[in-house]
Amino acid sequence: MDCEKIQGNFSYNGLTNYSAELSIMRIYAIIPAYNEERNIGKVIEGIKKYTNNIIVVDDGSNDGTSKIARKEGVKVYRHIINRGLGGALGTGIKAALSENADIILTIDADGQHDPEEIPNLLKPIVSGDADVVIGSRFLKNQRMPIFRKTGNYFFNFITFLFFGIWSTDSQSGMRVFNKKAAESLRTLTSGMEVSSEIMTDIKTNELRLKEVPIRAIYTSYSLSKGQGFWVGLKTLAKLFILKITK
Amino acid sequence: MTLIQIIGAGFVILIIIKTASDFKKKKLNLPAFLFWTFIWTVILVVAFLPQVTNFFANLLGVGRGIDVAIYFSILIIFFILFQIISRLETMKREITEIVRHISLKEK
Repeated sequence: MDCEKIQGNFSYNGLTNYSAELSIMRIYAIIPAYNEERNIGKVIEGIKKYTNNIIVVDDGSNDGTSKIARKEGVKVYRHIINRGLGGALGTGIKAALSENADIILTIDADGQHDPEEIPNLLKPIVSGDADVVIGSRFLKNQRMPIFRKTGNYFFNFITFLFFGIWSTDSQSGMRVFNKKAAESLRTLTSGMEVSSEIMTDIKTNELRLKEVPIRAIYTSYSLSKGQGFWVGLKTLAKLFILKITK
Repeated sequence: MTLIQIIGAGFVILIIIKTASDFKKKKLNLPAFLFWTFIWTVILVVAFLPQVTNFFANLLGVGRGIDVAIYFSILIIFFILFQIISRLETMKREITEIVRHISLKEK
């Protein structure tokens, strides 16, 4: 159903109304996963509470990611070779749109996001207050390894410099798009620099962006998989190329 | 003739022969063949008659002819580098499109 239609009769306070609206919308959760057999099952379990439309994009993993996801009964799309975060997200969004999704949620497969926070992220979309919601790890003052905090701030700054949009967490993997926003995203194909690509699309398509505070669950495992220093440097180089070749 | 000129010339001639043979084997198209032959011929000429660069140096207001050659070489290298990077990016995108297409089809 159309998101615009909901705007009129929705209010934040009417929570019963909210869940009623929620139940008729087709919400799709997309989990891009690369070698995440350790966590993917738990992540899927957590999301199931909120939607049954779950799409896992196995980005060329060479472990049991696909197998575990299939066992959970969700849809799995498998890339035959690894294409990076952006490529995986793009595949998931395309698949969800082809199934007429109203709302598309993206969440990391490493378990750093708490599925319990999904309703908070959906709210501004369902109420029609935003086209895109970013779950920001920096709106709540929380403990986070200092190098990660600094790194993130740096990327926010670069994103602002290159693409003209300020976000407190431009690299967050927990985002929600309404149909209009998802359709206006260009075909995503990149790796880690996808975050900034999305930002550019938000800007050029004049989408309404809202940030909602989320908690990040940092384990040594999820830390080892995120953007370390060198990956960060590589992302920076690619952002630069993206900027000049456009 | 200095030793560097002889070594350089030999090297350049080998490359021109390789370019021609690539063109003959259709590994290179005509514009690319002409472009590279031109570049290497210019290098060959400059190697033997460095004074011709002085003409350009005077024209451009750069001190020495050889400096002009170096400036232009760097410019051309950067241009080619840029082209390669941008072509690589396109190729990466295309590969992703193919991989995506396959995954959406297989399901």
